Amino acid sequence: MLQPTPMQLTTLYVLREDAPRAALALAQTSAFEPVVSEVAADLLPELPGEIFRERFHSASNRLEKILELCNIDFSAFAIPAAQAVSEQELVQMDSWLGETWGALSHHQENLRHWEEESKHYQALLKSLDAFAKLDIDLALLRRGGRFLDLRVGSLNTADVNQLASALHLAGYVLQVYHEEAGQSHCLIAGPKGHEADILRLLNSAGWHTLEVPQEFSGLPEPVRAQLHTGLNNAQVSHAQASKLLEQALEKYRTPLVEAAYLMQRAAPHAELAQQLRAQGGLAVVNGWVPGDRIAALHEALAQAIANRYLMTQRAPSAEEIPQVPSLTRQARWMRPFTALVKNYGVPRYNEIDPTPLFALSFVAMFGMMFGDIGQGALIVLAGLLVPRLAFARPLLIAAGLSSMLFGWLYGSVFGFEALVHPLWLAPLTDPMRMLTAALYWGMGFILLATLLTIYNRLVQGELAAALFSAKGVAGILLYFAALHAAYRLGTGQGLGLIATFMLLAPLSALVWHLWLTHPGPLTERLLVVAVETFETALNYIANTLSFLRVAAFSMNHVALAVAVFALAEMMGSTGHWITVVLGNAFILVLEGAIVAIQVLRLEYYEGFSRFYSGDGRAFRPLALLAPGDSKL
Amino acid sequence: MSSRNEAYLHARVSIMMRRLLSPAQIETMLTQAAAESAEIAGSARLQGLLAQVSELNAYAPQPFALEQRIVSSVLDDCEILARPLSGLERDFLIHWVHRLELSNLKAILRGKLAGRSMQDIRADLLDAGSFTTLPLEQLLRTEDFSELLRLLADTSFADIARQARAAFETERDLFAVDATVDRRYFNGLRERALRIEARQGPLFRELIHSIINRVNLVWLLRYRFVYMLPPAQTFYLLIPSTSRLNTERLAALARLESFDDVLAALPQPLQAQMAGLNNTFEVTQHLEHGTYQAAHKVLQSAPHALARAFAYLVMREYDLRKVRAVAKSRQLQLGPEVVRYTLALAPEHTH
Repeated sequence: MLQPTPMQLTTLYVLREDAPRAALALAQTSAFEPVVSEVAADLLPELPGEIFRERFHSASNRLEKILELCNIDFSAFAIPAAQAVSEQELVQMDSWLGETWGALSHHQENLRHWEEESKHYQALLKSLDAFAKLDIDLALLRRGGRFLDLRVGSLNTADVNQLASALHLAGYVLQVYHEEAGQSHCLIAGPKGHEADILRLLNSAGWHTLEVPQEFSGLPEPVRAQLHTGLNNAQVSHAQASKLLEQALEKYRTPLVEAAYLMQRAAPHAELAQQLRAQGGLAVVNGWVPGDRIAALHEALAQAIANRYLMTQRAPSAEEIPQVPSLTRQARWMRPFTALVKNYGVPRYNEIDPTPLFALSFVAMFGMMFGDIGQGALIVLAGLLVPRLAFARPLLIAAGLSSMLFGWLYGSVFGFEALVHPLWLAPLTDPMRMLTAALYWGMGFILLATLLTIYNRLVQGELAAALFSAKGVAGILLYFAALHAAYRLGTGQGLGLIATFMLLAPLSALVWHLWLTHPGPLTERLLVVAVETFETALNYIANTLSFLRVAAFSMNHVALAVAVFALAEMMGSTGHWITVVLGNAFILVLEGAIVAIQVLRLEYYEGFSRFYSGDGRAFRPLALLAPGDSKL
Repeated sequence: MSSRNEAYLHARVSIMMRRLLSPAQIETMLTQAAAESAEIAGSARLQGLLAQVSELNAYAPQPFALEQRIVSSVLDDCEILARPLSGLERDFLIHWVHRLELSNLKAILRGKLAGRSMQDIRADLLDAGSFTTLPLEQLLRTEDFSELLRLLADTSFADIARQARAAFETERDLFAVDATVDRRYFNGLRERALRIEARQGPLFRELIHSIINRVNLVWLLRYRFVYMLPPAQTFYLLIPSTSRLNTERLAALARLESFDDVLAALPQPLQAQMAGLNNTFEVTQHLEHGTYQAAHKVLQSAPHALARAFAYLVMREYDLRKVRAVAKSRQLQLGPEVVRYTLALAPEHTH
């Protein structure tokens, strides 16, 4: 529970044609993470899955785009048998997906076209009044003059001035008659004779010609009616295009589900193909497997490809340890805590997984800092009853229960201190005792964190660091010797010979270790050792004092409640209870959040930074993903 | 920018400017053995760049990795220099290197129009690191040009999508799109520079004018006399400007019918500088040299840190181009005189 699962480095030999079935079997066990082959590339020069992989990427890309268009509920369809996918099947599927996407893309292009048409008609309608201001025969806009080239269109407003100046060079004029959403609707006019040049210029400017309706002449009302007809036609066409797209999607729905499942089954082989090497009919791949899943892997392979495989395994060598992935297994209810630990990092392969200790200390410290029976109960209820908080349910229930337990110890219910007699003490009645308790808690926490560091160093083979470093045996002995010395001095007993020896022995070991691990010129070495020794002492003191916040927040909680009651006292009877309720809600939300952050800070900074590197790599086995999620 | 950040940026630029190459160093790289060149490249933080190229076959295609190294080097510098900046100043500096990403957009547009595969197009894309704003993967995954334009219409490049569609539907020609991308970029640079130039001083303004003038004059000559575009279209594709080569002057120049007429009608001192030049390439070289000089002046004399940081980036890019030219000349076993001509390194510049 406290360490990642032991892993084995396996080498799997299969017949080349069995590779897709073997990949699927490996994915079904979710116990094999392929890695770069150990076997020399010149012995196994071929990459047998490259074409499969390329086609998979192409098909996967197309499928993903198509699935974005249609919302498929895969649970409504039966799951097909888990058969391996051959290269030929994949090629066919890729081609079919290509055709399907082509057809759907055509519908989308139609949609875009009619959408633009609708926008143009809407713009024309809006600008009809402005057209009238042009004070010209509107029919001219359509047919132009005998010697006059007239055009109506739109372009980006930002480009209007430059285009007007450019047109001026060609003897044209430009007039803006309507502006909307960054687009200017313009009329341009100039002498005929250079239409081709003008067209190229307009294309450079992203000019969009507005088609003027045949009836765009005469009185405004018939024109308006005509434009409305055009708009309606465009909207009808848009609706038809939309319907055609829907129909096409409906038509493809069932084949798409089949395609998604096929891609799901093809994905493991495509992923395995990255590491699969071959020579002739033999294919080989290496991978990490949890030691306790070897048998399951054999069983799955035997079922998929009978006895046509050979699998050997061995424990990772010392040099391979940094590359070994970590597989941590925690109970389901620990998931919210695991997420918070992984937020900091993944444990190294042979490093202690801090999740259980984190869960325990997180819950305990939350209770210590936010002890209240009533508010703790509300947190429990929120965890149980609010669906949106379901992902953090175990954390909320545990934190709420802890809050209730400490509320009982402090005798606090929604801030009322007279309802329940404290089992231990009410925080504000004896602050010194609270602070002392917090200090002892901090010392225990630091001791545990340092012991874990020592353990991690030992299993990583860093004996000297485990014994003599600042976060090793020497460091923790120095820490407790300093505490002991401080206690003796504080109580007037003097330092004494034993206490002095207790201080100097670990300090000497620490300095000696620092001296050895920092080669360099003498002055630099002296400076580094002096600074680092000082920093070690300072860190231990600062880390310990950091835990005073545990007591501070428990008192802060009571103080906030006192403030709420003081405000409530100033109100009438209705106002009194409203203030009490709102004040409690305020404390619950705001202080609850602050306390949670402070606890996380203590865990990460005072705990994890001491013993947990968190730079490991999570175990990512071949697995069957959900259909439609087959992208590698 | 706070005085603390201003001081930080000044210090950073002063440290970085030591990496800039002198003409004498370029000449040494051109003429001396690989060891000396490597030493100079090392001092310019370009270790391995020359070696990387010299290992290649002379007839190998252009080493893409070399381009990526150069781009990465500029991006790394910009990332450091942009750190203390915020608001308009940061926006300006980031926009300057954003140009590198636009080459990716052009590559995708061209690749898709030519029907190249996703892998082939991806191989031509430069990694703009944290400066990437385009949804490259999504754009690459499109199956045809229409789908690409539909996707692009949902990004901040919607105006380019609109023009690309017009170009695609009428002529299936991407010249207008390329020109629009470039025009949009330099227009953006000009607008951003306008917002901050009051604070950055006259030397900074001169540098920006030098860049915009160079772009405008080279484009004008190229569009009018190489692509044979009509005056109106040529003028439309230029950047509005308020410098000596202002919008009105550009309109007048666009009307002229020959290369020599354009050079003769330039305002002073440009006219004197361009006298005797025979083609657009030589004009480009001279104008680039002018921009380099303007940047050098800013770097040495400008009191404002952002102006100096920008000038450093301008000069650094020129330096990297010079190193690239030297590297390529080695790869193709060309003589130093070819590189000198290409980079407008007259022998007198080297002393």
